[in-house]
Amino acid sequence: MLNEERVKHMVKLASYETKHGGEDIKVCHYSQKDYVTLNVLFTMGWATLGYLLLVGLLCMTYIEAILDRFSFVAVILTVILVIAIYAGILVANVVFANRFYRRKYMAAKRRTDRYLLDLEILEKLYESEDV
Amino acid sequence: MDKIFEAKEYLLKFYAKYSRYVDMGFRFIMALLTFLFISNHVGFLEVLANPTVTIGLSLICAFLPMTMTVVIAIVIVLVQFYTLAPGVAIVSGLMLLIMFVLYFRFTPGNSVVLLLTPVSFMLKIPVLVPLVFGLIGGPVCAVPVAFGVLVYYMITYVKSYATVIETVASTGTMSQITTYMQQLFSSKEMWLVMISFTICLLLVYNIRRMSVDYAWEVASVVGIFVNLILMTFGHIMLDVKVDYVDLVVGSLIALLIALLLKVFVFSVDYSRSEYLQFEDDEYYYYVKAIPKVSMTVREKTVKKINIRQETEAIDSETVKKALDESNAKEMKETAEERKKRQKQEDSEIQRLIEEELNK
Repeated sequence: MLNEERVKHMVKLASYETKHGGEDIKVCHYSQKDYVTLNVLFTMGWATLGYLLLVGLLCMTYIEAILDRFSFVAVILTVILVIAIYAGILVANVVFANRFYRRKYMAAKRRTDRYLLDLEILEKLYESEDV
Repeated sequence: MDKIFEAKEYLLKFYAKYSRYVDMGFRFIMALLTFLFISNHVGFLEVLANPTVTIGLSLICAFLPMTMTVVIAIVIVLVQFYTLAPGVAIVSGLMLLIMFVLYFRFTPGNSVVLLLTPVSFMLKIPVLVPLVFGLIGGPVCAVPVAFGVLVYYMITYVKSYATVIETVASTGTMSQITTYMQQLFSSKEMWLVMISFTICLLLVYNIRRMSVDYAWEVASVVGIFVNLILMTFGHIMLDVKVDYVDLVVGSLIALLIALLLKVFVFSVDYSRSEYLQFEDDEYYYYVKAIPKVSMTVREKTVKKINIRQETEAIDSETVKKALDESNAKEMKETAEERKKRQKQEDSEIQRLIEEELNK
């Protein structure tokens, strides 16, 4: 005879495993600090790549205007401006990524803790049935 | 108003029952509209612009997640661009990669806005996208909305200047890239729409979050109004081409859709608002509680009654006669029977007494 409570628990566990389980377990293999730091570093790399692509595209677009106004002072000022904007974009990305991945880790940890609790409950239900 | 809430409950029940098929239908329609938009605007490669291929791809996308539809749409756009001019495809690909790197790697689910924005432009209700995302999303949604506007203008620019791009293509890839980028980023209309949508979204989001009554409605109306003002300003000051009929009609339709969305997402009854005030050790709390509107739908149950079996019609006099006869029989039998019964009972009692004594 099927135990209704047990089946409900199993459905809940299976639903979690299908939706979030894979991703959450990978996330919870790390400590919060390690996970956030690793992903912030990746974000910095991607942001740098994105920024370089953007600068490259803009240079290609306005190459003629740049060459017309080419001078030593203009080049220095442009380089300073590019570095300043890059620093700003990097800081914004780091702050955003830090917050984003911290929240993601905490949400995954909460769900995983709930999942482990449900597994314990299921185990107890099985034990009570065996008795 | 009750009818709308009843209709909402019916729709929710219907969706709960057939959600799988409804989702597939929605994905199919979304993919079809997107691919039709692409083939109508930049259908340079006839194989991909073929209606049969479009419908076939849409059917495939119905079974895949929405992000796959975005990826397939991007691939089709780049292939179409490459058919016209390789430089344009390279630049467009790089721009899409920058969008992914800077934003969509965090929230790949929001990449569907890249499809929604061009489709809403095609349906002449472009302001619907910032309005809806301001009402149900957050301020960060301004980024994908702006990217969606950029994608739309990339495609429409290529459609409008296809002959110019083809002419420039003969001079080399670099000149293609330079011309395309300069023309695209110097488009005042694109910047005006981007800025207008960003302001509209942020305004709608901030007003919607206020604790005033009818915040949702006020936010929707203000968002539409601000968009109209900014587009008019752009037309007058920046000489941007604006079709006022499309703009006004599209804005009204977007407003109606936003108000209808409220029934499903944020249906509350302001007339029953409660104001509470309490404190704990750290804070004083001033709380406004607004109850949600819930409607129980009448359930119709059909009760099947068994088929009536026909009985004979009974005459009352016949019944009376039969009763009298049976009573008379009982009366007659009673005197004789009584004697017999008494004798039987006496003999039974004697037997039982003898059995007890013998034990």
